[in-house]
Amino acid sequence: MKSATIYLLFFTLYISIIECAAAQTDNSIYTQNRMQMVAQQIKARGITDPKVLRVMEMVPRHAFVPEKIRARAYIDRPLPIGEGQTISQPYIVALMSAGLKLTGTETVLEIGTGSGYQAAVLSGLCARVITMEIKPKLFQTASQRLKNLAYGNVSCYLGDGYFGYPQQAPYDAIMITAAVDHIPPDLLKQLKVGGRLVLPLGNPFSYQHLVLVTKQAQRYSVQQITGVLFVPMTGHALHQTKKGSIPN
Amino acid sequence: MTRVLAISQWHHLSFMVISIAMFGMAASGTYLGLVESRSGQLAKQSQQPNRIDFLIIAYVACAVGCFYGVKSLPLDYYKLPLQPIQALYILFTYLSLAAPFFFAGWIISQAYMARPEQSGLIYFASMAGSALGAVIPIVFVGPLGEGKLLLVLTCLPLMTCLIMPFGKRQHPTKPSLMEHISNKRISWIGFILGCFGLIVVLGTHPDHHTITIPTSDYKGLHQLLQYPDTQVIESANSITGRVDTVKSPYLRYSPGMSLKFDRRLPPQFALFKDGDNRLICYDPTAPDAFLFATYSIAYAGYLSAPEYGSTLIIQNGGGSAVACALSSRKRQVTVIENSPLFAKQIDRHYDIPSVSISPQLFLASTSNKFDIIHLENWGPSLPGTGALTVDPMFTTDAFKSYWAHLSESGVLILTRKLILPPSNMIRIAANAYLALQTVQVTKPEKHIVILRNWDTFALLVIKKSPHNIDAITDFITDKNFDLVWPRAPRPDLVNQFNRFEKPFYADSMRSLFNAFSHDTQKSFFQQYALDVWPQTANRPFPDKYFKWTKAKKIHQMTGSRLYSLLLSGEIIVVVVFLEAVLIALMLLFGPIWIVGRKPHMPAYTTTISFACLGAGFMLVELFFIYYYTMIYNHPVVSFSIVLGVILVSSSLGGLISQRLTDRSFLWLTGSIAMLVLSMFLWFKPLIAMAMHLPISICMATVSLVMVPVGIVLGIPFPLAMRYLVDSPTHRAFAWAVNGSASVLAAIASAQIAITWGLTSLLGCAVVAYAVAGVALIGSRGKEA
Repeated sequence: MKSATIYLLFFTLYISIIECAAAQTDNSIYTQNRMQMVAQQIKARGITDPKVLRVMEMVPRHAFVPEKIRARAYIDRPLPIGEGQTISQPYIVALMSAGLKLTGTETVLEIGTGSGYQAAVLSGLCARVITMEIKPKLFQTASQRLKNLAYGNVSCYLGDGYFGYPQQAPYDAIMITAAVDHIPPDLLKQLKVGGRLVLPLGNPFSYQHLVLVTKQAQRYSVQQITGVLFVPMTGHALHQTKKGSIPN
Repeated sequence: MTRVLAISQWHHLSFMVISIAMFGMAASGTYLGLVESRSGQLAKQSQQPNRIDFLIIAYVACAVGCFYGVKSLPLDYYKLPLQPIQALYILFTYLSLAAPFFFAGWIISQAYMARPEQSGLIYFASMAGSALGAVIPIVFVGPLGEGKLLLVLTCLPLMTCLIMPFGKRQHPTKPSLMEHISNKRISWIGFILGCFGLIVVLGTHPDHHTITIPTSDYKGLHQLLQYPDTQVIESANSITGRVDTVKSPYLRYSPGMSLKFDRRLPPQFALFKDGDNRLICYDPTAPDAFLFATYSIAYAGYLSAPEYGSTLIIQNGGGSAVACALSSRKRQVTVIENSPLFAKQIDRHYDIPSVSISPQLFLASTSNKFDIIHLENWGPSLPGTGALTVDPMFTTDAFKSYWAHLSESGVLILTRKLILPPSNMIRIAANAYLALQTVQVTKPEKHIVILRNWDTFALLVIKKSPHNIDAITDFITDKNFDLVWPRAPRPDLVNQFNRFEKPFYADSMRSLFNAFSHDTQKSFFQQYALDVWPQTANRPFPDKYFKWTKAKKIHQMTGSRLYSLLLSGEIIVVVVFLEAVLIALMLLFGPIWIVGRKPHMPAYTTTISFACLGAGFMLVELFFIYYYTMIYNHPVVSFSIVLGVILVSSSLGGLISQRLTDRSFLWLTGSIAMLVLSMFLWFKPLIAMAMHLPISICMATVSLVMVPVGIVLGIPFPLAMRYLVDSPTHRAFAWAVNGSASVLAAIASAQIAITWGLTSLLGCAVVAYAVAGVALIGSRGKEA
């Protein structure tokens, strides 16, 4: 009996070591993939902001995609995350983040939490992220994921981002991660003077232009960045915003 | 089918309908020729009881099957570069739609084979029937809807099973009822199936998915319906289009809006014509309902025009022009709307007099001057699909007319989507410049102002010169728009608020007007990567930009993506044309390969003459369809009326041919060629004169113009069938050749018209008839 217990202990230890080693191997592979992603997909395409590059090297993108496609997490493409939504191509995430020119002290509103990956990236670039998701399932998954991964400066809200989140306004920067054919006036109102808004603007069911809107005292400027293809901004919960479950 | 294609796709595929029908007909000729050459019994079999009834049943079964087959097919040719299977779907669609015409063609072809001496009568019957088919939908598409009407028209031939003359039986004595039923078993089956089908179709709810026509995923209606809490609350049909009224909390339509407008838009609902072209109606009772319009780019024109003036809005959907007019202090607003149903809605919703009439006809019929003429037409949701659409709103001739109807301090306002690389802006500015130059305006560029935001531009043509640019520059600065033309008095007005990598639009406008001032515009248009030549009434395709000679450069400019190239409607024409050439070659040369050249095939000269007769007829017919779109104001209406008139008059030509002999060929084809050639001289002046007559008389005149042409075009084919071919096999192959040439001519005419203009179709028709005449003379000798 005693020897059986010892064997069992040894066996458990062996399994644990194997799993640990496998996890470490996994992690090192993902880390390696992530470094390659930043070098080949982001740096090589001209994004040079060191803060953005550093954050992109740190945020585990594979943790934000469904288990079955985790192996493809770092490829140069958007990936499906369910509910008809996608996690953006790494380059576009970096491009949009760099476009906001964050210094680390800002409050940023993100419309369209999706997987939570973009919010996680933003959390490393600014002081606070407010992110809104309209689809309850995605909201629950993403908010739980961000909580588990300890992104403490991210607050998730369930609601229609078209109207923004006036309770915490004004914002230093706003990012819309779903296609829209016009710039929502409420979001412009919630932007501080000097603030920046980045969004895919154009036909939500075709291709759009990624644009950067800058708000100044008496004027707005719209700068065209590049052509993109985002899923449309849609909504169910007009005016029915409620607080999410992430404690700060 | 044109209505169905207009809903499920866009009008730019309507040209396919004729080719599809003629393809099915041609295939029947090839098939019958092959069978006849093998058995030699087919012509006799046409006399057998029940044969025609059987073919009618086959036609109906095939038509219904193909309707549902195509409806359920996930065809999306824009995905062709990503999904190769789409090529198969396109082929399947083409073949399926043509299949019913195979049986229809079989009946007609067999009639020619069996009764050559009555070719004129057969031609009369088939053409008159086709004319009826073209005209019936005008009346019935409203109450029944497209899907239901298509199925009803499909079932109707079954009703004729019991009355077909071919089904008349010879009975020595009067049969009993049971004998009668037994003899006409197939006829009765057809009749009962027809009754059953009609009852089922007519009893089905108009919105039932089995009879509704789904719209393309790329159309505005389909896209809006993806949003939650969005629904179609009303649908109405007419030959000018299906109009769906949609309510949605996600309708936030206000093209060309300044970002400085920070309020909510007034409540609005949308009407979609054929699932795409939308009209937005704003709630006029909402507080400050139209304040938003004063922040729109088009409003710059209202600031330059006198207060309390009169406004003419010429629109094809939209809704912001009416909002601008209502927000300004302009009075006497009149709306010319392309769609009658939209016009009715504007009248009802805003209490503004609205009519649906061709803008040219309206302007020709009035001597009134307007302080504002506001053109609103945003085009289809998918750029490129408009490449084959006739739209006379933006031609040089139209601009001349607008200018003539502006008051001394009047302003013409035109708003369009901003396209990169600059294309539509250049063409429209060139049209305006040329029009002003033609009416002896010195320095036309001084009258033109262009401004833009990130996705919209407005072109203003201001009659007074010098005009006060300060009011416009203040508006631009205040509302954060960018000045494109004239050269900005301050650098902060160009490419500042809506920034591109370079000031592409201002640069291209500067190049254009420089070219005009140095008289080098031809070289400018030739060298520019896209086709931005000004459009005239002879080439009214304002959304056609593709240049085959610059295809490689365009491909590079649009990101080297095949997808972008496929957005051009012209590429679709070429794809379909190549498919049609392949099919036509199979139909023409397949039989030679199978049965050998002689003695089954007609002589080369006979073959050429039948091919040229088919092509010539089709080219003249399509010339009228394209040209009259500008008068009837709608492609499908033009299609129906032109087909109706041409086919009826041709059927009369068929009757006349019964009285003629083969000696008439030479003078007949010569006369047709001369008549078509003479149209270069009299057609346009006559139409221009008719446009100044009262509208009903004008419509009657332009329709009657087609009658003599149709009559003479209808004579040669039945005459040739009667005298030039002397065996049933030859007649079947002649029918196939004629149909195949029509297929190719129908598709080629689209490319010819958009490239060289509408009158080039007439030129091609003259050549076709001249060649037919020469070949007919040659073939008379050979066949004899």
